[in-house]
Amino acid sequence: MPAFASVLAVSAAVRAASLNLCTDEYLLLLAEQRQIVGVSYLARDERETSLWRLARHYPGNRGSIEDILPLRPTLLVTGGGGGRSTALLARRAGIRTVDITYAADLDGVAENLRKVAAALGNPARAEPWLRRLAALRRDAPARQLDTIWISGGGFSLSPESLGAQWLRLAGLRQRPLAGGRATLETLLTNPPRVLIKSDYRSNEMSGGERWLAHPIVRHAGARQMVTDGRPWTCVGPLMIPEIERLRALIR
Amino acid sequence: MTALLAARGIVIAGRLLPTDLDVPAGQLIALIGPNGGGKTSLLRALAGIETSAGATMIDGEPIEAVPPARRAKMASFLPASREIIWPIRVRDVIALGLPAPDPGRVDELIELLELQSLTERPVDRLSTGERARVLLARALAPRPRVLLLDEPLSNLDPYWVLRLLEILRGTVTASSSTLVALHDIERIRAFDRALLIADGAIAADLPPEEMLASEKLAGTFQIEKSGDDWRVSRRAGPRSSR
Amino acid sequence: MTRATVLLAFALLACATLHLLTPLAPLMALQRSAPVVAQLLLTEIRLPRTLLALGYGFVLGMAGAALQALFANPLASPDVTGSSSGAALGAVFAAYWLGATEPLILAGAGATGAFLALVVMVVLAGRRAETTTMLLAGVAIALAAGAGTSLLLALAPSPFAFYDSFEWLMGSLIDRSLAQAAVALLPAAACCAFLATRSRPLDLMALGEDIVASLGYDPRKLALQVIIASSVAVGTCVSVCGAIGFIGLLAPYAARRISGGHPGRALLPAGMIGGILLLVADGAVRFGPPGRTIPVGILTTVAGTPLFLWLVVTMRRRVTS
Repeated sequence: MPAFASVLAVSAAVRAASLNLCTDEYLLLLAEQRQIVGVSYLARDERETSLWRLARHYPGNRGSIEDILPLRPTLLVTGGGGGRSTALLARRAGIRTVDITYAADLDGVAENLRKVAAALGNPARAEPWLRRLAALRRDAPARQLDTIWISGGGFSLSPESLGAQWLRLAGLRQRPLAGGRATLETLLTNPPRVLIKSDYRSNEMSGGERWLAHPIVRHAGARQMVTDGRPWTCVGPLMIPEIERLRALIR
Repeated sequence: MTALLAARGIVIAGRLLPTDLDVPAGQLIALIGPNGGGKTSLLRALAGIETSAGATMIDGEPIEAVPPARRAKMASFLPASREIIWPIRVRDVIALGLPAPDPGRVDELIELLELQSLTERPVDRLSTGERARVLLARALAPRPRVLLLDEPLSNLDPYWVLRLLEILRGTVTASSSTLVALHDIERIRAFDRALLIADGAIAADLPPEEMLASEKLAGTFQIEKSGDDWRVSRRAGPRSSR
Repeated sequence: MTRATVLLAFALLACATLHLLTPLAPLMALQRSAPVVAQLLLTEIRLPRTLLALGYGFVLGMAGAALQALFANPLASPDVTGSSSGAALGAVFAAYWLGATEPLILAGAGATGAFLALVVMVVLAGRRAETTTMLLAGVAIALAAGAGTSLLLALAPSPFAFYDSFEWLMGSLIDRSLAQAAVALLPAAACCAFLATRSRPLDLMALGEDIVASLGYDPRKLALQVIIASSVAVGTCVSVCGAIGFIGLLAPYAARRISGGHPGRALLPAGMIGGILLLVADGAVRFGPPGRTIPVGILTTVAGTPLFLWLVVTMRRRVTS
């Protein structure tokens, strides 16, 4: 059989599922509609991801392999580690797995994109994303602004984290903070050039949201920008459009 | 002559029937009656603590309308319960009865009720009898026009029963009167007037000697005279219980 | 007693000043380099915290004293009667479930919760209840309200809500704004001023309700006034800082030593002692391990529990003597 046909055969036969938000992202971006049989319930939640409309086409699961067995998947996208022997159970049930453990850097994100696309039999579908990522990395601004990224309660990013690496692509350098947290005192006495505020669940009450409403926080930093908080949960490929947006704003 | 105290139609639902009472100044009045008959209720109504209807007037002024600043001087009430839980010094408890500080008056009362050895003691550490005297001192402190005392003689030893009757006689002046609820009917001889309270109403209003001899008294308590003493009435049927 | 009151006032001011200015070094350093920022540090970050420590502590002390005078029970207090927990429940329900964001509405919800908790306690135990009955009812309400608060937080829309449990149930004064302090303390100040006017009839409550009534006060109206005023004061503070225990129980006890046992005259000293206690407790929180925050209510509970137990033991001894 010609390679082309075998690829088609593979891709047609794939019934893919995923059990957590971060693997959902890859699946929803790279799979054809008919290839997906189930995603986690988080993917269907508007507050968690921008792909929620797409995810609504599929049943949501609670993250346990039990939930998806009735859907008879042939491929499970696993990742995120934890205490679950999900991959083991899947293989015992005869389900193929592709594992994308939490990427440590941007290379890791690119690698994950390729892996999942290949497993789905759609290597080409990764291309647009890989191109955009490569473009972001190639044209990363030389000038890096002193930045603090905060979410509710002042929690921030470590400068070595993947989130901080994404920020650098927009010309923003996350400042190292004691305890990984920005305090009111820091924001007042040593404000950053740019303050990026995550709007994750910003309309829902929590202690962290009340903290963000403090006058010091509201006026901190020479420049403040709000970022869509949702991609930051997984800091995966969905960061690409958000970083493109931030970079454009910074210019 | 307007009565010092005039009560018209005072009622406490379920406990006191509509009652009228006139008390001129200078009278020491005893209230006797069976348990639950309404002695306490009458005193509480007269003190303005609780009334469903009617009014008590002192010097023509309805007592419930008198503001706290003047109230203490008009009528003073001493309940039967002797409980105080806070460790307040005896001297300070007595002073509570005064609308304005008056150490001289407090000293007077300490002497009157022989509390000299107890002035600095916290009141919750006194015996019941000692506490009774302290609380009485508090009631006497503002020199009220009307004194309303519920069972002040209970829990007192014989010396103090007699001494207290002397003190109560001293509280009655040309401008004040005192009403005292009692259990021991023999004691009413020390009084000017006796009221028999039963079933929520004034059953009899007589001078003490007549009261002691009255059929009404014997019938209400279901006791009879036997020589100089009293005994349970042979003709007694079941008493109406409250 | 006036001399003691003046001394207390000085102590309160001294504690507040210390609380405001320590740690001093960063403040002084900033004063040299950027005085405008130093002033903002003082007014926007430190001042709300000091005001809340002083004010909330004062409220707890005074409300505790008023409740103890009213119920003629040295164990009554906003925490033991379930009032503080009820306030937390009310505020959490309004904020996380009804989506109320206006601080004044939250304060009102806290006040309502505190009031309802007290009403339920009075209905369950009766106003002149024995200590045991009142304790049982109040503690039951406190436990139920506390559990309810945690449950509401666990099930709230925001997944972060659950981690707020600690602050609601154990209190925190950190990172509050001046606006929040105002919402908590202005109504509370009005209520405290009102409670202070009830000092005389509350003193007379020591002699019993009948004597209070015979002297021209209405005991039921007094009860309602004290319950409403203390609920509003405690409720608004809880809506901003969460529930803090034991200060409302112990400050009045100390205050009555100064007032010679008079429960009503103890109101103002109890407030001041409460303020001092919370200023000290929150000051201690500041010097805890860096990066970790110990909720201030934990400190007051750890320090207060042995004193509370000792109180119970001495009460038992007194009752049986």
